[in-house]
Amino acid sequence: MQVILCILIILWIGLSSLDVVYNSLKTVSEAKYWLPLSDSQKRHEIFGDTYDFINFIKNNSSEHASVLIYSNNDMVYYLGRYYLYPREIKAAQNTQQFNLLQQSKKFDYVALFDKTAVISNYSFLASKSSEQHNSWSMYKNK
Amino acid sequence: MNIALVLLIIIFITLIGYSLIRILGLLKEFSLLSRLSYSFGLGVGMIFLQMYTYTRLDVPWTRTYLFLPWIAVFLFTIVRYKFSLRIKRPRMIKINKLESLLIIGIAISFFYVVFEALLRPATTWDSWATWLFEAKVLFLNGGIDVNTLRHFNFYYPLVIYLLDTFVYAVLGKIDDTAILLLSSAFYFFSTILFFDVIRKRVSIRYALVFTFLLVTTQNFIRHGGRMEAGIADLPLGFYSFCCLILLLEYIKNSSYKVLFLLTAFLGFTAMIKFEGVTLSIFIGACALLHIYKKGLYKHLLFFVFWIIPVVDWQIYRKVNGLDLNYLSVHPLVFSVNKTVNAMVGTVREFINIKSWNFIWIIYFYLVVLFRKFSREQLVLNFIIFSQLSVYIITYLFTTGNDPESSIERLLMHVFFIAFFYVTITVKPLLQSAQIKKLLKPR
Repeated sequence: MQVILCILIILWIGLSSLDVVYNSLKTVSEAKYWLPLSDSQKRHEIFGDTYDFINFIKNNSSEHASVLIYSNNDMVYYLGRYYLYPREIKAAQNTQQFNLLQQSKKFDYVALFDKTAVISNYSFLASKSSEQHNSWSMYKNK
Repeated sequence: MNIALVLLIIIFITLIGYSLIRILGLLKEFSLLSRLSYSFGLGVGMIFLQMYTYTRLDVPWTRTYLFLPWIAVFLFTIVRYKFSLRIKRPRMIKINKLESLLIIGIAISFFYVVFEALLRPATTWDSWATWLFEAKVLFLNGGIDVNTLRHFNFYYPLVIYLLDTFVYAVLGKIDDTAILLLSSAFYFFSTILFFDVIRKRVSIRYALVFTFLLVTTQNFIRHGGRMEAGIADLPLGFYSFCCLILLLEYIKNSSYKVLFLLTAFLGFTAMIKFEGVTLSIFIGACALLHIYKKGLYKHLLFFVFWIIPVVDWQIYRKVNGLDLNYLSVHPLVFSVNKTVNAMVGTVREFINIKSWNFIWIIYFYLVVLFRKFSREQLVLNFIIFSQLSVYIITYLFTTGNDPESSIERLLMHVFFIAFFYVTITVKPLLQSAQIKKLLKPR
């Protein structure tokens, strides 16, 4: 049993040593990849189009606005909540919920992430296309 | 600039703890590295208490108000102890080539963790969706606003939120990259505490080997600065290890000063995450058993330091209608499928060498095959197994929990305790084994 223990510990030390070498090499490649990027580019690398969409909302709304986001993607809501605070974010994931919420007129803005919908009571504000998603669009409460 | 400021904040927090430990005459039996780790842990706890008390008393979280009491504490310490805040130069020890290599390996790992922490903003979902989000909200609101807590369903305990908020308040802005240095600080202080504690029991070479194995554990690195930085599992692991070492010291010498610090740390542990509540109960139960066995009933009074912050937070939540708790978010449920998934998923994680190297394999190997447990080993196993049971029961009986999404993080809570167990258990076993020559004590 002790011999097995010895073997395991020797393997462990070996693996840990390899980890140190691997991490050291990785530092170089990661530095080359990440260091030239701006803060915004890094966030785009991590969160993809979702981050750009959040920025799109940020640029087209006031700081304390309430925004209704229509998207199937959970991440859009949570990332939006984080980056857009103190804006009030509400997300709808299906047409019925979205229609109900937009008709309540409680929101200053409506934003669509890769979605199309009939928008009433809100006027068109801006739209944008990305490589991965057809369109993002934003509407302002009339 | 923010990075330098966060480093200064970490030093400031450590100085708070160091001063208080000095003033209260605590940890005299501990050496410098351990005291520094406890100073950081105590400092974080004091920041939490300060921020929480301020918001209850409507004192604004401005730099002046935040710094003022601690500057007074520093001045008092300096005057009272005649400038002996100055740290004595540690005794230098001679090291050979192998030990130098191990130190280099440990240093590389630490620099790697810091480098990774500063390379990009918070990445993992829980960091920005929960921990840093609430800190951002608290910072921008300038206090704990009940309506906001209710609106966002913030029902988690507050230590880490308020620590992050403190950093933002001192910086005067939100920087979700620099703040990840706090995770690296927990990595650093966990490591030096671990090294210092085992150094007392084994040779320097052996201590360095196991510290090297500790710092190179990939999941530990991830929590310290890579993908999992910014969440509360490493801090909880750090606090549980701090509590464990204090518990062992208390069992050894029954010192009320050690128990005082232990109960304070138990309070902080319970206020990090819900999992900390059960961990603190298991560790606290061992202390209670010791009190009962030794008849030290007066020591029971110290348990108010553990109970007060937890009870106060619960009362605060109740009074303000923050009724959401763990079970209301994860209602009870049971299915056979969940049972299989919970067991398989948990066991699979134990043999996940990519994340944990051999720590869990060796831990269970030792527990199963070397069953002559000392009292100390029994305590360690009791805490580890009790906490693991909590996780497995949670997987079995609650919705929205499965090992795939969380066990890798949860094991971090007892990681240091398991590592400590392996280190002290393997040592005598290796005396008669082939590896003895390599790890020969000096």
